[in-house]
Order: sequence, then C-alpha cells, then structure tokens
Amino acid sequence: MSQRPEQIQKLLSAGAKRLLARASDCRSLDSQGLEARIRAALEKYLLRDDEDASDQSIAEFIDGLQADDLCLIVACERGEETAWSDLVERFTPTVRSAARAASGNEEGAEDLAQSIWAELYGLRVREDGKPASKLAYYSGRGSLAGWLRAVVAQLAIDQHRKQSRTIQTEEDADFDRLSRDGDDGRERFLAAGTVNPERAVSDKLAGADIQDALARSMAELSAEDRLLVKLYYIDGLRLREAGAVLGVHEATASRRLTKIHGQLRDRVESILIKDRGWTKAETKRSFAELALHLDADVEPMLASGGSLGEVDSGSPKVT
Amino acid sequence: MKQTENNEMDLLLRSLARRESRFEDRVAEEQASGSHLDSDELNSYSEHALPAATRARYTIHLADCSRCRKLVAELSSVAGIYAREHAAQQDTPAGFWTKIGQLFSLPVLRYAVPALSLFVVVAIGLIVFRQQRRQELVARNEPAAGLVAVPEDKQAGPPSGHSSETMIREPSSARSDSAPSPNADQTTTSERNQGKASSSDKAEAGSPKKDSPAESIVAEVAQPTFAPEPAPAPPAKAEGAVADAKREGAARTESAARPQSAASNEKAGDRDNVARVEARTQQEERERAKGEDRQRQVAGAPASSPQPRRGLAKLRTAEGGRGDVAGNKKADDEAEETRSVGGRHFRRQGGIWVDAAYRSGVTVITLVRGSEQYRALVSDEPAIRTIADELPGEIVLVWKGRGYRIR
Repeated sequence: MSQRPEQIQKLLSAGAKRLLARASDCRSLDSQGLEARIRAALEKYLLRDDEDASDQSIAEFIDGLQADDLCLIVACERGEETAWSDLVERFTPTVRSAARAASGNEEGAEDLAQSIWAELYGLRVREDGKPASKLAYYSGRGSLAGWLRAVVAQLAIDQHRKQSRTIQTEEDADFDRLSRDGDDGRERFLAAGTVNPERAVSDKLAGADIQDALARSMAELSAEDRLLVKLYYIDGLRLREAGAVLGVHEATASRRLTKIHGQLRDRVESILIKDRGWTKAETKRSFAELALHLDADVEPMLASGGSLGEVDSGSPKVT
Repeated sequence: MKQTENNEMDLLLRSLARRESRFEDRVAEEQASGSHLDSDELNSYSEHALPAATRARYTIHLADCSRCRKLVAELSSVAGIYAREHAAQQDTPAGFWTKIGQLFSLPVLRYAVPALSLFVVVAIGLIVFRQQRRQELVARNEPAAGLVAVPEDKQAGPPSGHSSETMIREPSSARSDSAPSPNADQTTTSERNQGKASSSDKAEAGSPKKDSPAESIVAEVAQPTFAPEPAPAPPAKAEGAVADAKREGAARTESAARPQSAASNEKAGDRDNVARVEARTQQEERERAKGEDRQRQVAGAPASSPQPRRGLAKLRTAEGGRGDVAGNKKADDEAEETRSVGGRHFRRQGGIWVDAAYRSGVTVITLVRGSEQYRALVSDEPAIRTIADELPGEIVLVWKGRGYRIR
C-alpha cells in the first residue's frame, strides 16, 4: 500500500507530460505546474469512488482531460496576459450567450456576463492573499465552454435567489398561493366530476393508498430510472432532452420509461395486496377509476391554465 | 404491459409529479448550497466525461435534487448542440483523400463489395445470355475468302468434285443445323449428286435449277468452280435456253433416277462416259448461244439499275467465263461477304445486302429505318427487325413474296 502514492505520482508525472505533448499551445507550462491540478481532478472524479483504480484507468483518466483548455486556465491563473486575452477573445460569445439564456433580457445578460468575468478574474481576495478566482475549480474533465456555461447558470440562480429573498414578486405570490391551495384546488376539481359523496370518499381513500404505494415504489427504482421519471414527469422535459441527460437516444428513453411503468405497477399492486389487503381485482378496478378521475382532473386544470406542458394523455411517445 | 395499464401509470405519475415538484422546490430551497453539484461536476456530468462510479453517485443526487437536475438538463441540451457543431466543424475541413478513405472504409466496403460482386455476376450473366441468343438467331457469318479462293484453284487446274461438294454442302449444313427437314436432306442429296455429276457432267452443274433459294445459292456458289464455262442465262431469255433447259431437265431426271450405290455406278460407267461427252458438246453449243443473248441483254439494260444485281453478278461471271480473268477477279472482289441471318442468306453487293431469294421481278417497297412504316413492319414481322439489326446499311429482303428495301 505504501507504494501506491509513489505509483500514482509516477502516473501523474507521465500523464502531465503526455498532456503537455497533446496540447497545441502549452503556454510555456511545465509538467510540475500541472501535476497538482491533475491530481485534484483525479482524486475528485476517480479515486474518491474507486480507491484501487488500476494504473490503466488512471492513465486513461489523465489522457481524457482537455489539454488545451486546462493549459489555458492554468496560464490564466498564473496571470499571463496573453492567456487572458485568448480566454476573453475565445469565450466572450459563449459567456454572453449563456447569460442571455439565463437572465431573459439583454440588460440583465450584460450584467451577468460582467459578473462572470469578475468572478473568473478573482476580484475578491482569499485568506492567503491570492485572488479568489473560479478558475481554480475547472478540472479539465469537461470542456471549458461547457464549464463557463455552468458557471453562468449557477451564478444566475444565486443572483435570482438573493433577489427573491428581498423582493417577492406578484408571480411568486401567486405561485405560493397555488402551492398552499394545491390540494384543496385538486379536490375541488375532483368534486366537480363526482356525484356520489360516499363514492368520492372511497375513491379518495383508494387514491391516497395508490399514491402512497406509488411514492414508495418510486423510491425503490434505480437512481437512473428515478432520474428519468423525474426529468420527464416533474421537470417536463421531452424524451429527447431526458435522453440527452442520460446519454441515450430518445427511443431508448421511451422504451425504458415504458418498462418503468410496468415495474411500478407491479410494485404498487404488490404493496396494496400485501400491506393493505387488497385483492387483485380491487387493485385493477381502483387503478382504472383513479386514472379516470385523474383524467377528468386534467381538463379543469387545462381550462384554468394549469401546468399544460406536463400533461398529455397516453403513454410517453417519442416526440 | 397493456396500453391501458401503461396509460393509467402515466396519469398516476403525472399526478404524483405535481405534488413532488412543489415539495422538491421547497427542499431545494432549504438545502445548503454546498450539497449541490458545482459547475465543473455539472458540466462533466452533462458532457458524459465522468467515470462510471462517479457518474452513478451524481445520478443519485440528481434524482433527488431538482435544482441540479434542471441545470444538468439545460447544459445537456446545449452540450448536444455544441457536440453536433463540433462534429460538423471536424467534418468540414476533411480533404479529398479523407473522403476517399471514408468511401473505402471497412463499414462501407462491408456492404459495397458483396453488392458490387452481385452486380458484376448479373451483368456477365446477362451478356452471356444475350450472346447465346444472338448466336441462335444468327447462324453463321460466312467470310467470302473461301469463295474468292476458288477461282484461283480453278485457274490453276480443272475443278475437282471434292471442292465443289464442300462448297455446296456448307449452306445446306448451316440450314440443316437450325431446322432439319426432309427437304434439306433431299437438297443435300441432289446437290451431292449434282456435285458428283459436275466432275463428270458439267452440263448439269450449269443448269438453271431454281426450285428453292438454297438451290439457287448452291447454283451461284458453284458457278465459279466452273469458271471456264459461262454462267447459265435466265431461262426465258432465249429459245435455245428453253430447249437446253428441257434437255437438262431430262438429264437431271436421268441422273436422279440413277442408282446411288457404287456398284450401280460402275455398271453404268460406260454409259455415263458417253453421256458426258454428249453433254459437254451440247453445253458448248448452248453457251455460245447464251453468250450472244447476254451480250444483247447487257447492251440494252440500264447501267444504274438497282435491281438486277443477281443478274449482273451472273453476267460478270459469264464475262469471266469468256476468258476475261481480270473481270472475273473484279466480280469476286465485289462479292466480298455472304452472311446468313435468321435462316436467310444475304450477299453484299455494292454496299447493299441482297437476299438470296431476291428475283428481279419482285416488287420492292422501300422503307427507311426508324420510320413509321418500318416500325409497323417490324412489329408485324419481328424477324425482319432481327435481320435489319444484324445487317448494317441498306438491305434488300424478300419476305412472304414481297420485296423490301430497308435503308
């Protein structure tokens, strides 16, 4: 075990040299200057989850780093003017585009972009006296352009959160009111389509049982399946977009979602039969009736301008 | 899973999602900012640049954190666009050789090579099949060299029965290959007898026997073999010729009735010798009379008449028969080529392919290739199209008693 750090150090040195050799412009950097940066990325993304990673895995990880982008960022951290000029020249359009997408108006986008450059340059000073630049967090694992877009998006959310704490807009107030009255409102919608109060109570209880069993079944899904369900049903993404997050084609995402439906239904039925003492026929009837009510629930929501984007009848289809 | 059950689960999940979304938003607000993924992690996840174990850890977080999930969703959609643009930029500067290399890459060749092989095999098969069909239609392309060479032999010495027999047999054997018939056998037998007789009785070989086209060709082809003797004139031209024809018919009947066996021939040998001498004498007298008639005919006939090619050839042969060796050679040169197409024999004369069955009295209809009349004719008689396709240039053809001149 004592030889492991030495072995990793050897791999790091060799990997840093290969990285400099791969870079089209190494910006006068040496391998030692990069080793600390590469080690941080290695520990964060590989050794933390796999301490006994093989030498080959380590070498492949280092060889998968973005050589040019990493050299540029390290050179910027060192305060090289040429590197800064290159960074600003190459990535100003990227930052502006991301800021425009995050803020929604041109003025806010310009302010956001300026804030990004200030954060990158490190106008603030850390405790050790060095500028607190966000450049230190770039690992080189992903592209520099993607990282800059992520930084812009994070900063936009932080700014929005700060503003929302002080100023509650009329829209937010409406949203809060809707959240508070959500369950009551849904009951109102349900009542509109119900004739028999006794039946309504019964249905409501059955529906609650099913919803509870469904929530439990969801928690038992694998993380990736749960992510897919939430991307599609909660975040309202299309199958193509959800598939892009998971790195699969939309057709694959569609098939996987259909399979998840089957797993969830089996699991929900199992919970209802074992824990609640339902019969198979009761679960089937309750599913059908609840779906009918939920289907009826959708129409008033559509009429009242509810969350239309999330609701469409039928199973997920490739769009 | 049934479609209805699938739809039910879809509706249930949507209902659950409405509740969950509100709950998750509140949780996300309450979560400390330190527990969220940082920009580098979000970007690495979006670009699928993480090791599997690390990615699985982040997936668990994303499944429960709406804030990070939304950021990843945004970054993933943009990353997909940039990845496509990057791929397009990489494709754009690809040079000519790169494209050629891609064209011959293994995935392409995997399908292209079998397809190309199949195409080549089919193409070769079609070509072979068409050639076979053409060979069936076109019996033989006879060069005129053999025919031209005959007069030289003839000049060198007296004609032999063997050479004339060989020349006579060729057309009949070609015809019998394609359509054997009793008539063909009869013709062959009669020609063989005629060939035998030609060595002994030249009067028979020169007789105007024109019962069928094949026989007329035989007569024409056989004529140069007897170069010293003039070609026979049309039977209706002279009274002497009519008388000769009668005598010749009698002689032929006599020779046809002659027994085929060698023993019979030996017994009749003396009688044949006498008959030969008599026939030769008669032939000389007859030729003299025919020569005078032909001289009269040639002087009266128009020089540029398109029809009497056959007669002209005979006249030329006849002129050669009077000892004009130079004229005889010229006539042989003009008869450059003889071809058999679709069971019919054609001889090239003056750049025109003339049907052997053509006679000067036949009414000729002139047609131009590709014209409406021509198309109508070949649609009714496809064999004419085959002949016209095989023989380039102008053709004079006799078909069902009518003459056609196809240009």
